[in-house]
Amino acid sequence: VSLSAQPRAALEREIALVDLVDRLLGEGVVIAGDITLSVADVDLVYVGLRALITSVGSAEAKGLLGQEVA
Amino acid sequence: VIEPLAITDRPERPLPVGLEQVRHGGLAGVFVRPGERPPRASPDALWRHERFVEELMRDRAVLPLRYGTGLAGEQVLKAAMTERANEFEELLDLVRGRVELAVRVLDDGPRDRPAPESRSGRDYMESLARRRSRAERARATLEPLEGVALAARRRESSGDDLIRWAFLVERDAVERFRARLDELRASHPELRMTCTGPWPPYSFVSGGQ
Repeated sequence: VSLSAQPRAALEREIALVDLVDRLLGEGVVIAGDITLSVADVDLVYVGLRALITSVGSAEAKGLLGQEVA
Repeated sequence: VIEPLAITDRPERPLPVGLEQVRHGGLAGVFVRPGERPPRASPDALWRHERFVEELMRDRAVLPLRYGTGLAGEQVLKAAMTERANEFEELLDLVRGRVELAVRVLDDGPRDRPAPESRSGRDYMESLARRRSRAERARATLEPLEGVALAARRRESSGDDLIRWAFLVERDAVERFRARLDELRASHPELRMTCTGPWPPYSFVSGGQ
């Protein structure tokens, strides 16, 4: 995926999604209960995110990352 | 089965449509009753959850709960609130009026990693050491941000980002924080940073678990 061809808003949403997943799945107050997410569900999200972080890390993203992400 | 979203204060406030709560003293345990399908880790499901928590945050202090937990009923949530009321009240005092900002420093390092076939143990150790020193430089560079924040939590990452940093910031200091970050970007163009938020204070309520 060429990031330079990707609209900035879409990239920003995806960066925000990475931060959201880190928080929802790894942070927050834990109350003992049944885990309702399957490992497969979580893996699917993470596979997508790893690819994203890699592409964000590419030099093409350089110009985009100087901007605030809301 | 219920899916708990957050512990909040101000249980007398009307709830957004679709949410329910149980009360214990000045605490509310806010939850949804999911339909037949359990929550899935799709981006849509995650954002829907997030929107609910943000909506709650507009007019109350919020302790977001870990996503993907099902409780057998609201009595289970109420029992946890009864048992941990002091802990929850202290955390609510900590986060009231404050938001979380997420800063990530991306790594330029992969380009200096040797190709796997040519990689020796020594190459590997050297590339780890270089990565550690890049992380340390990034950490030192971002330190001034701590002056605008009330608390900071830093994670070194093993992925393509070097550092993930969460800052707890007064709601009305968010612009100041971003201005400070922009100054750091300008003076350190070699560091590629992302900043997202404001988020509910996810990273400041899970201590000790």
